Amino acid sequence: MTQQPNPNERLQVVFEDVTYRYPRGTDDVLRRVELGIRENEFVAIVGRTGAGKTTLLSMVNGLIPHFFEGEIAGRVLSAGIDTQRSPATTMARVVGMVFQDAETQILANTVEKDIAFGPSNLGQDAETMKRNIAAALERTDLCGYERRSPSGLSGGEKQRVAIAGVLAMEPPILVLDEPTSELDPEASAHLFTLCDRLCTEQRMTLLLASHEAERLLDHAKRIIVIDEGKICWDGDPRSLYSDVGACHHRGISVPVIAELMWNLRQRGIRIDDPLPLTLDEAVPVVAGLFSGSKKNIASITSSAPRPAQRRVLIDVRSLSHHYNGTRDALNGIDLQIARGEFIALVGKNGAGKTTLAKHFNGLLKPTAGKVIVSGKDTNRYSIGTLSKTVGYVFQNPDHQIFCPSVREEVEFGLRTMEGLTESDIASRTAEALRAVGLEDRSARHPFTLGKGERQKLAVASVLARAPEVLVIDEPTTGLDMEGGRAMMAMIRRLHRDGHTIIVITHDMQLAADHAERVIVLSHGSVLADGTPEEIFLQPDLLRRAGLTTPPVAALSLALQAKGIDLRCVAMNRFEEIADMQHNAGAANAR
Amino acid sequence: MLVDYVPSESFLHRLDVRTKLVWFCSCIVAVFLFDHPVYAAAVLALLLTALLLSGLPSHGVKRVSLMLLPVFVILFLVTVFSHEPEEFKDAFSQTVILFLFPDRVAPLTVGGILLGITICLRIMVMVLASLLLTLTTPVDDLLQASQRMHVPYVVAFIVTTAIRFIPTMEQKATMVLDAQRSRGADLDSGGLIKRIRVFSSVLVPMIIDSIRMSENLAMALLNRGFGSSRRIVFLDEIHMKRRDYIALATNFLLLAIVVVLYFQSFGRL
Repeated sequence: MTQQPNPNERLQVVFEDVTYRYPRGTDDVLRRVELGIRENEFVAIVGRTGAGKTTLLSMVNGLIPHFFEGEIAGRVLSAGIDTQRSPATTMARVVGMVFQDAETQILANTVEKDIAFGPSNLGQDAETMKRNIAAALERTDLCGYERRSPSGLSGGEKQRVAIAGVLAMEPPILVLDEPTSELDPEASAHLFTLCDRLCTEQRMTLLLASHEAERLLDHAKRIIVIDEGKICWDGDPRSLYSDVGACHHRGISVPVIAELMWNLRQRGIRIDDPLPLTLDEAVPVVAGLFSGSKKNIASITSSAPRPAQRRVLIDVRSLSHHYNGTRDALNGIDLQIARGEFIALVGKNGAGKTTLAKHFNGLLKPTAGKVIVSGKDTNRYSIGTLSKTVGYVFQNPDHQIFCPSVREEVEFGLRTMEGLTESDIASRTAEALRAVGLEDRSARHPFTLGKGERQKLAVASVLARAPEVLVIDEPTTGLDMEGGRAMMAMIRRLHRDGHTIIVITHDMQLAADHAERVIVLSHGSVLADGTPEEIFLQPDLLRRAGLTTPPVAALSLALQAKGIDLRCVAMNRFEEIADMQHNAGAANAR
Repeated sequence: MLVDYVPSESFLHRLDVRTKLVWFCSCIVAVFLFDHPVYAAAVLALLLTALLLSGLPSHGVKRVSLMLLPVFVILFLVTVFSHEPEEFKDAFSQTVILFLFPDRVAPLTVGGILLGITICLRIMVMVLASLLLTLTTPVDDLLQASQRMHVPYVVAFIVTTAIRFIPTMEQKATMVLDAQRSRGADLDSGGLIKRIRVFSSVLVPMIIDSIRMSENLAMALLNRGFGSSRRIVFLDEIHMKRRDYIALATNFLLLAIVVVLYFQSFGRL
């Protein structure tokens, strides 16, 4: 299916039969890659973690072989320059590269000085430099940020500074390696719009690795799928995402709507080709399914009764917190969390999600108000005591892993507890590893595990202390489709086993699919608190919180406008309703 | 953040980096010439005035002072009891208030107390002077100044980059601490073995993370053309202005007074 490049058009990036192996590596990371990318193309590279995306991108700007050595066969040309024969400093003029971690790409302590770093290294004269900096600031929507300090910027702003830093060197090719994986949806959308503009207005050639299927469908002109070091698909996004089965087989995520439509088809519901991929395409198709039998729907959609009042585990009473006497981070929060709930804590960056959650195990103490956890006022108990009730799993597992084996890592949390015998520790460790599905990894070194497994290890090390409540911060960030699914399946299992789950997330569809209750924070206050249906079917409310309506909810709303009232936001539930409707329709027809 | 540049247009920001370096050195020299706390207190007052006038946030200074408080207490106590009256020239300083132990061992003298205060003030002056320098000077300017002083660019770059990443490492340390404390790690109690274990739970992730960051940093540098030309052009060339000459003149005058006072044996105990 590989597209043959038209020889008349100028190719900006060329891979000629490239095979590569890292030093001391046992397998080829790239295998016989043939690739031609035309000037002014916006190409996305997708594939599961470890498929070779970063390796491929690093070859475009010569980081391989100038930084990472190894065995290379074949040739890579960027803007006509052989990347292996030209020094890295020459490559820097031709290919600008932006990495996932924005922090380490910012080298100066004001935005303007940082952007000037590349041009000064190239020896541009002051006039050219000023012009290039001004242009780079404008293209990244950073005008007015000149004298800001990078440490006061948000993740999205930092990533834009990193882009501006390479733009100021005027490279014709821009390479971005998962630039949005640590950003919130708003910042990510902004970045993609910016990339579009660079492509259309500046006629740059863009290569971008990303997991964000919805955005790639909207923005990329061409998608290349890599699996086990080989290019296994190359073409336009629409045709790629129409074959959801093949995408899943290669470990790549697809747009939510495409997946929903595919699943309906798998259930035997007739969805004609081409498979609807976007909301606009899906609405008439789904409306067709429900036409003519509106009276059935009400009975189908009457959702299960809400569970009876359960024992309150965490009681937050008019909680306020502010840092360093500056701005208010939380103001006047009242909240009760009951045993066995599955809660999603959502809100923009800086809305106070993490600040609130850190009060649950005493990492932060209220400036005013009270937090009572299982009858204990957090002001009067230490984190050591409170963390036995509330376990907190942080976003980056590498900030806590320090032991030479998986088993010892889990034991660490147990050895900090009083009155446990060695056999208690051993049995609890085994149990926690079993709960997260790492029982066969207990002797391994944590850093030989993949990111998804390290994330699970972090959960196990908290779980071993048998907390009633688990707070999990961004459980799927940085994971690919398979890793993310495995993680959520594990969290659901823990919930079924009786744990109270509080998930902090930017992913609204994840919240809609899994949570029983959604708490929306905005500017340090609770803006709304209710079932996913109550929250996600209110676009105005979400807009006020700076959030977007998740795809399935958007579909429900569009159908509602057509008189079909499903009030459904979770993908699974939607499929069930459609399935019942389909069966009822079939029965009527008989 | 402790040593992070705070963008602003205050008079300290507008001074040339070299002027600030001269002032920085002068303050340090001045506090070490005199043993009487009045002099160190005067320098400290000068720096505090500069801090307030430039509108810089003072919570950083407060935090550092609190962090250093135990150091001050220990230094003060050690100094106070470790000087015999004969070491002081001034009769008032020789006055012994009491002896800590019988047989006239470990005397508490007026001179000892004064010296103890001076030593604490000296540390405060060094901390505050460094803070004023890093809070008001872009790393880039320090780089330029060192280039003018013929320090090799790579050496200067390493130093300034280290300064740039202090706030980042501080954030990382907070994240690691939060994660380990959430697993019950108690950093303030327990026996030696337990403490070493808890300490390594913080140190190991920090070290691994720094190694990862330094690799990313190296890639970013390569990617930004670091080392591609011998001549580095800076965005805003630093140059001395009228206010710098005024500031330097003031500095030399004060320094002259200080030297004269020193040779007139002022400020001895």
